Amino acid sequence: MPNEPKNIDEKIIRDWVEMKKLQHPKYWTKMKDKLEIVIRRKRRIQRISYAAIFMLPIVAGGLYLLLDTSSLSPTEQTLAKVLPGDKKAILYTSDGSSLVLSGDTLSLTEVNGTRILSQKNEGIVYTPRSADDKIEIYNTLVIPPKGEYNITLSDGTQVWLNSSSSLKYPVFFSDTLRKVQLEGEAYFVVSENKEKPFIVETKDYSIRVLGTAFNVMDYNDDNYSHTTLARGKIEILHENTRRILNPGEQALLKDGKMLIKKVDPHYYTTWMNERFYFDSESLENIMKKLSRWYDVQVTFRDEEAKQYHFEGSVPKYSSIKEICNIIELTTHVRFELEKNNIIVKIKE
Amino acid sequence: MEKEQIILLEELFTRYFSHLVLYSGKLVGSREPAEDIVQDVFLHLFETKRLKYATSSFLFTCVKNASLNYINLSKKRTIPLSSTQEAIPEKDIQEEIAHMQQLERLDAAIESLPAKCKEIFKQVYLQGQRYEDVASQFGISYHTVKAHMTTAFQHLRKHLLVLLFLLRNVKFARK
Repeated sequence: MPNEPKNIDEKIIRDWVEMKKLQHPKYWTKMKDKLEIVIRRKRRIQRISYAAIFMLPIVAGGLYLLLDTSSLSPTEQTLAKVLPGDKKAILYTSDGSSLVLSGDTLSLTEVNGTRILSQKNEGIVYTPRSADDKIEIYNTLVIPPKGEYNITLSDGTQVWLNSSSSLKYPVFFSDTLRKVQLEGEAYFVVSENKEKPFIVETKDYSIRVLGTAFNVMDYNDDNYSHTTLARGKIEILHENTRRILNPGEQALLKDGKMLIKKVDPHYYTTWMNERFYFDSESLENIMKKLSRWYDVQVTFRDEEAKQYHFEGSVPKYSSIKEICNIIELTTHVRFELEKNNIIVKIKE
Repeated sequence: MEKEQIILLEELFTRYFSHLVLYSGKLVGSREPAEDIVQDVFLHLFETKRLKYATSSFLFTCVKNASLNYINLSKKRTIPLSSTQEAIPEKDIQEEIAHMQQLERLDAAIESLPAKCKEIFKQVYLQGQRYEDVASQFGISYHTVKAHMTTAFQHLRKHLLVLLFLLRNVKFARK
């Protein structure tokens, strides 16, 4: 290097040299290559509809693929260990004893003779033995966090129960009424019987049914609840108001007010299948659902992120990492795991 | 829409990439990751459609955060983003921008050198060549090269007097 004039700061000239080198066109070429990949990946993801989450305009769009899958961050590695729930329930029989069900085959007989059979695929099935046995006895099925279970009641009505929910029902329905009590979320396919209305009671309202399929979500720790009708007709009684729900309608109860809105019931009546569906739901509600299914705590570092909305679906039987990745891909939130707590924050 | 974004990206990239890499390199202590960090910041802004908000201080802040995240990740631990954001005061970014402007002014001054003089100056500094090599390459004498370099420095000194004065003051102020 020249040793000539020293009074111009050598440091700033060295920086200038570095700057000049970095202004070489090869860097823009490299950048364009990366951009190509991102744009192509973005298009591909848009095409794969089953993995796509479409965003509402309020959420700034875009993908975030800075991290190669090969270089997972420590958080991602631990998120991968947060596994989904599976078939799990606790059955409380009329004598107060409890049975832990996990999909194994199990058979027992209630005091009134009703046979209870539990199998992996069919769930619990109640088969009445003697229709003349009128003793009103109740069973309660409790689904813990990270669990789900399905049950066929003695009248043939099928119920799918979601995590952290419970259903109390008579082992054998009386002559005049079929009444069950629900806490949490369940999807009902009620067998038709005009003479014996089917009633679902929750903490907020009672739903009167005449053969139909609908979903009820009414958790104690949510500040809203809703009932969505897929088929048939139901009547909702909330305090002193009586509302009829038609297929494709949802009764939403929030802050003590009942609102009927049109929805696509598919979003609300398919959670018992392979995927979770979100109908432009807030991130707050989504994380609440995930916290029940993965049994984790969720903390929002940025309040604002709670109001991000999502529409689309995510796989249900995979580690929470996959779901977090999909959400991270489509908006600027980031998930981190600390012990059993998922921290949600806005990127940057 | 996407086309406009790419044009905007190229403009910002051409203007800021080198400065941002220098800055990131200072933070992470190495050049190679700095190049990737800055490219990823640009990609991220492109993807989240935020290029249109990219002012110089916004870009420097993004690169600062991305660099600090890189440091944290390479230390195999996670630190909440919010806490790292406070770690480096805003003042540093203003200084970085001032430094960037000085480099740009220096560059403009170099570009305004007489043609031959500029060529020789670049050969010496950008190619790292000795005066002897430049002399034989251009078919001129060693002394002519030296004379050109002296002219170059005189020219730059004139242009940069104010600049260097400011630069020194900034350094004193930091101490």
